[in-house]
Amino acid sequence: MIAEQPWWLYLAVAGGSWALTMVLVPLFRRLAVTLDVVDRPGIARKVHTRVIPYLGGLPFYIVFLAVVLFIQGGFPQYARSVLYPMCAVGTLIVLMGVYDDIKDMSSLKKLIVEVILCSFLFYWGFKTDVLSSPFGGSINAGWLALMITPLWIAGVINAVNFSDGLDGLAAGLVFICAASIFAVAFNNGQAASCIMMAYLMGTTLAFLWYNFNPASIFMGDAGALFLGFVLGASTLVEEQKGVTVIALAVPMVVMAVPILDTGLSFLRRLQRAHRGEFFEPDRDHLHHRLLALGLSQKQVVVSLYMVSILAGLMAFMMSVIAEEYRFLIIILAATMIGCGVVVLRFIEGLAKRLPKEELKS
Amino acid sequence: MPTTSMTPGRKVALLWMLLLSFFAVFNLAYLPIIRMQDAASPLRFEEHAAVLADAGQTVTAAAVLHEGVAAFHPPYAEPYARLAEYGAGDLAAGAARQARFYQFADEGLTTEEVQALRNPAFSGAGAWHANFSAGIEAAVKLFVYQGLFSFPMDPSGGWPLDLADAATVLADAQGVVRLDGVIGGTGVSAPVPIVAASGPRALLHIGGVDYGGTKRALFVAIVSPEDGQILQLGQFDLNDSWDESIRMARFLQSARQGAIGVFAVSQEASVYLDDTHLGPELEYFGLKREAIIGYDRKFYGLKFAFAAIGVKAAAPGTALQAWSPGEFDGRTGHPVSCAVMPARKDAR
Repeated sequence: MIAEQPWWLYLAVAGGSWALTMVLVPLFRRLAVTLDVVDRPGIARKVHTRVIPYLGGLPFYIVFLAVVLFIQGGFPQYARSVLYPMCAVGTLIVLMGVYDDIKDMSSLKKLIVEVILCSFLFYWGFKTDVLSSPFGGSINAGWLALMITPLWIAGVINAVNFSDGLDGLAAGLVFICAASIFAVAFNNGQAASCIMMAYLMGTTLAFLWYNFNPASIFMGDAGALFLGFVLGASTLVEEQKGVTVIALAVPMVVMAVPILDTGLSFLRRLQRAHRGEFFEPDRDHLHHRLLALGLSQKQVVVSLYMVSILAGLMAFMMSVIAEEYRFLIIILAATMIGCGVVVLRFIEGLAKRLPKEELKS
Repeated sequence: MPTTSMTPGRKVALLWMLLLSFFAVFNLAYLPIIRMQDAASPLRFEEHAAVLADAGQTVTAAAVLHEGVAAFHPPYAEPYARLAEYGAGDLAAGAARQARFYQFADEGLTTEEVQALRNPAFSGAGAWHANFSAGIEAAVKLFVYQGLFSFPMDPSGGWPLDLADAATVLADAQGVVRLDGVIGGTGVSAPVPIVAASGPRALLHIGGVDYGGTKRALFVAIVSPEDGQILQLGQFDLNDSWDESIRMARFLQSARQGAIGVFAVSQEASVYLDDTHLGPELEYFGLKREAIIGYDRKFYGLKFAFAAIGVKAAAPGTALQAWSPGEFDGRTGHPVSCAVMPARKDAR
């Protein structure tokens, strides 16, 4: 299997992305400081206590352009026609992120722009006519295909963006998701997906060098939105005889942590929608709640990494076992998520009832 | 930490300009690469041949066209007509027939115009059938009846084509017919008449019985080379899941060496065709990846019409194989057939 695949190309993409990101991040840190594009502590939902520069995510975009150029120019047999639309829409996504980092943009406006931009992808070749069902077989999406592409990518964008609340969390989760999808794609011989995931692994691993606690730079919305965009869109690049087949289940299980957090956030927002606060951010994301229990930033981040790795392993298992048993993995994942939520609520309840010292002991 | 007196709006504008300049540089490098690769793409074989012909290199133009039609089976007349013009001998004659076949397929052609094409096969089919799919169907039916009764049909019985004409129709419709009973280049002779036809339905006519169907699947029959007995039958919905591809690979692996494999696609069978596992098994039956998709040769015909008759353990490319693309350059493909008739007609 390894001999049949251009593993050396995956290594080159991952290594090149890593090296280029390592070089570019300090340059953009300096630029952010010069322009005073920084994140200041003070807002309730912010966890950090120091002024930290933004713009750490812009190297992701530049490295992505370099990778696309490298593949298209040197190895066109592994390129896909959808790469250019990804670059074009990705550019607009990054521009929006930069605007948000500096001038703040409401969540509603951001969501509308994301959905519109991702809708372009449908017309540029991201056809999602055939969906691979988590319960086996495939589903012809029909007219729903028009909605699936933008909603799926916008969903992943927001999942990554919401998880960008602690040092190293978003980049680490994207790295783990990319590594898991890489393993699945490698097993299926899907070179285009492998290349995209190799890029994500390389660039996020390099960024973690600067962003892991204590962080010296943040990726900002520009970086989080772009990473989410590439991760979401990359799950659609693989064509099988001209038909894009989305294996919905595998990336959903891989991204269980950010998707669960997004889902819970959505439910909380629904609860306060009657007060007109649906699009208001809060401090109730998973990482905030774990911090509130007394865990340190590093402990929270590593715990969520562990859960994500577990989800990634389950997703990989799902891709290798027989179709008729896949639903068992989904049930297992759903049960674990359910148990996790119940246990978290139980501990939170306990923490409210007991004095802090007693809880610690 | 130094600060700047720039307004947020100016900072945004500055960073946007920086990012857009990166994108502009990217475009300056990327777009020429794409244009260059596009011009060299095998898909552009018609344009490439036209340029060569304009430069007076008609022999090379014919070679480019020959390669192009073999790789894509374009379901329209123009490339075949040009090949007939630039080529010579049998190649040109075959291309001319195929060009006429596809002209016949075009809507708006009257029966008189079809007859004016002066091809006995087509004028006969045109008189009886309003479109070319029906012409193919008539030819296939003739072979099926040949298989059923093992003697030539009486032309006065209603069939517009004799066997040779029917073979011509099928051959011009990207099909392959052997009237000497030998299965392509495998050297194995078919013990019974075998017809495999693919399109909206699959037809696997073996010794007078149809094992095909209308369900979406790749229908496969494994036939004994000694007596024509059916050894194994299978249907694999390669539009449904990877598991079907794996199941089919195992099915083909379990067939004994030397057995005849008959393949026909009903509707579609390519979405989950696993080239890594199933591809080599198909090749082991003498089938060949013929279509160029992107940069690779693939069993593209499985996307729509694909029929083949091969022998297990034969060399790749020796089987009888016919295919038509689901769509090429905006034009839809058509049904195809493979047939092999035993040389002796008294096998009833």
